[in-house]
Amino acid sequence: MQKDFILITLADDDEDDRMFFTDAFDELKINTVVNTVNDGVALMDFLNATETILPNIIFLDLNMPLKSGIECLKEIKADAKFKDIVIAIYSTSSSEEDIENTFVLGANIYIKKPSHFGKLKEVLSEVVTINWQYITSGLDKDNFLLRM
Amino acid sequence: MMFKSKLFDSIGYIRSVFLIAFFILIFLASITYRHIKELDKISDSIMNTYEISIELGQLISYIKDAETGHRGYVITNDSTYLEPFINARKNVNLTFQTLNNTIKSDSIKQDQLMRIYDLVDKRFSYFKNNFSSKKEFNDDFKNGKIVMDSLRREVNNMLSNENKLLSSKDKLYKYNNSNTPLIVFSTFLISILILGLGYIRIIKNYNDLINQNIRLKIFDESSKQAEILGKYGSWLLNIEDKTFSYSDNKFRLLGCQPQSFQANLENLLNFIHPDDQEIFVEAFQEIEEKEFLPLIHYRIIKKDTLEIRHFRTAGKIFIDRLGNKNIIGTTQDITEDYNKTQLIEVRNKELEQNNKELMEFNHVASHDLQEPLRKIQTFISRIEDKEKEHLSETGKSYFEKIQEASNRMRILIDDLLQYSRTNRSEKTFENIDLNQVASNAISELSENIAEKKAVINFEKLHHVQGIQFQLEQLFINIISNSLKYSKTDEAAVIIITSKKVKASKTPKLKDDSKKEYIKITFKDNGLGFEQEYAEKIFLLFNRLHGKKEYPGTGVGLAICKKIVENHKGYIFAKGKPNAGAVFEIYLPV
Amino acid sequence: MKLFLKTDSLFLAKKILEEKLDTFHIKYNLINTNEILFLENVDADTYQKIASVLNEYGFEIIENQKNIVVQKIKETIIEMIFNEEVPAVKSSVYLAEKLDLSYGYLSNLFSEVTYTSIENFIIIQKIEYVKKLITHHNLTLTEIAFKLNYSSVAHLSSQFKNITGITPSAFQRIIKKRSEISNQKIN
Repeated sequence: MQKDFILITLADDDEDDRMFFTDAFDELKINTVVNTVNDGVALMDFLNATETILPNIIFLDLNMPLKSGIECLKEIKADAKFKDIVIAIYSTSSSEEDIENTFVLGANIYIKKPSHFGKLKEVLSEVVTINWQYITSGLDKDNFLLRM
Repeated sequence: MMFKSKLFDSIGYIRSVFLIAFFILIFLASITYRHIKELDKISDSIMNTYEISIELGQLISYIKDAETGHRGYVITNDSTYLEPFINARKNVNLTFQTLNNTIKSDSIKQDQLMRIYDLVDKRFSYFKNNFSSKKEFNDDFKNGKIVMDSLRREVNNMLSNENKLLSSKDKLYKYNNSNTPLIVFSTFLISILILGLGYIRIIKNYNDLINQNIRLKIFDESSKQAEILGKYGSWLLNIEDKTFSYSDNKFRLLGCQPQSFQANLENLLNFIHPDDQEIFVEAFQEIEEKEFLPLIHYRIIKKDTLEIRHFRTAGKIFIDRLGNKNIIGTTQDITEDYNKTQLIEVRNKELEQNNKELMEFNHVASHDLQEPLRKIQTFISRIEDKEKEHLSETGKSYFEKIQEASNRMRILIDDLLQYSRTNRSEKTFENIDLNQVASNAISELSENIAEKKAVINFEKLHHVQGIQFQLEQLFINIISNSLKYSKTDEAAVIIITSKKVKASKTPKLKDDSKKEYIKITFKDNGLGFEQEYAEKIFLLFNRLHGKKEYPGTGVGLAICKKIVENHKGYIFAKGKPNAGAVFEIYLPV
Repeated sequence: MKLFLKTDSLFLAKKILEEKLDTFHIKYNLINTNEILFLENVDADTYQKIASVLNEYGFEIIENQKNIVVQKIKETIIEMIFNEEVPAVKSSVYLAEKLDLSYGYLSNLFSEVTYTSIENFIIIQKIEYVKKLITHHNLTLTEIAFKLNYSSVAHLSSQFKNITGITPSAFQRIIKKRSEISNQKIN
């Protein structure tokens, strides 16, 4: 069944970043449905809720109160229910080692939050596109690693 | 101990000298004694002979007297002439007695004397008073004369015998003892010589001992001073009987008068801090088997001031000449040093803590500053997209200024963040292939490299111990620096090489050790720089150009220096204006 | 305990198709896992049922002719890359030959349907293969570069980085650390 639109969830505690994110997708011509949550606990609650349709991609900020992005990442990867979800870390700059560490823990994508709105749109568009290519080409999700 | 053995030899020497002298003297004495005895004998013999001569002379004389008297009587018939005759007989007998005594047991002489006595007797038999006839008178005188002649002969014989005897004795004596004076004299000289040598040696030794003694006294004094100054005391432990002897200062260290109590383990324990007593006792118990006292640290409570002092004691075995085992030890009051060290350690911890906090602060600050800056820039981009055209001209230009400033701030914060990261990372070193590092760095900069149409060559780089990310950052910063300052009309060419060098052969490292380094050289053909700035370029925030000419924060090379320092290496730059730059990095193998 | 599996997806697909199609009791010919020739007529209802059953197993019925061609292009490309016996020819030549259509047409069609170019798709597939070789076969980068006809390891590295954003050596490291973690979990 060809999915008509892509389900995206963003977990970020910053109001402005949530706004940038949703505005960017609004302006992009891709069929996406975006929902946002404000922290790690809210994210896990959302994912675990029975009525939730699991998103295709989760954008995960690292610095969140209550539960950090890394903790969420570990929990998501540990749960077989969520194995088909592509996880994109969406964060301000980190050190090389930290970035590599998120990949090691199972993230598929790492995005450094751009400081230009136009760039943000580009990045998000590319992520979604590549992701879709992956799915349609039946490529190995475990090897799906992308850094923007 | 050299002096000691010398002294030993001296004693042996002196002993033997004196022994020799002694024996020589005995020898001398015995020779002299013998000689004197001989002399005695000879003089006895002489006296003997002399006496015999005299007596025999006397004898002849008495007999002559008798003859004279007899003749006188015979001639005059005066009885007064008979007096010597009568006396003569008496005297002759006396003489014989004396002669007998003198001769004693010499049988030959006795025979001779007997013969003389017989002859005398015979002569006296011819002293008749009345003569019956003239013939008798003539015969009497004639026989008397014949006997007298025989007597004389006999006496002369005896005398000449005596003389012969005497002279033969004399010859014998001379023969035996002619050398004696010479021997005595030379022996005397030799012994004088030997005694002289002995004397010289003794005096020398004596002087040496005196000097040694003086030195020892001085040494002892300075030792005592040193002990007081250095706050230490020395002790001697006789292992066998477990007796201690303490130097004066050891007592003072404990707060007591020198030699004020019996130095033994028990009394010492009274001073030691209760918590440390066990260590102390244990260490001393092990002395006998270990044959030394390892450095132990313990506290004592000073008797006079009751303050706690820190002591350090060590001892080593010393076996004396008699084979007694002793431990010579030193105890030092290290309280001041200990306290200072404690203080330093506390300060160190504080400083480390401070440093850590500062680094954390640096990192957090750089990191946290990114957030608002990013927001500013993103909103700037939003405004630019949508609202900029609604601004006035002034508004637009102001807005552009805001953009530029925030861009600059972005670069600065990125660099600062990078700088703070080089301090923070865990220093676990791994074996890193520099070829890998170089290619990763080139990958990172691929856009920039392509843009500048730069060519970067490297081959067969070595392996080093280091941190992957930091080394990559190092390469990236240097290459990017070379790219930034490349000539506009010439494509940038950067050549990276490495080789192994020895620290001792590389003077600029100022390291004489046997350490080896890998020297990595980055050579570019860019704009270069004045050599006088070769060290300044590594300073934080230091720039050689204005920000309008070349973008940059002056942090990049400072980060390189920090990374190199993290790896305990060195970095140097060489440049010539318009002739490119060379960066040399030394990393320990 | 860990088991390593080699999956023959074609075999799997065939088996499932046969199993499921058999339940409909309609004569069919399975030409390969991409083509089913029904030998009887199939009414709309049955068609829907078949479609939904096949969907359950991830089989999509390609409606569009264009999609079919694009699918074929993709398959050919994958075969070209993953099949070691295929000689190293220019991909455009190979595709045009294999599908008997001009490369220009193929190229346009592909971009229209997939929104990306054939070249891009080829590169993605190649990089995918590189990842596979790194993950499962533990080949060195030099060996991989040689195998896939890259002119140098640097060329491979830069293309890899272009597509994924990380260097192949970083990728190697990450895969290695991931497997170390999962080993620890098992232990």
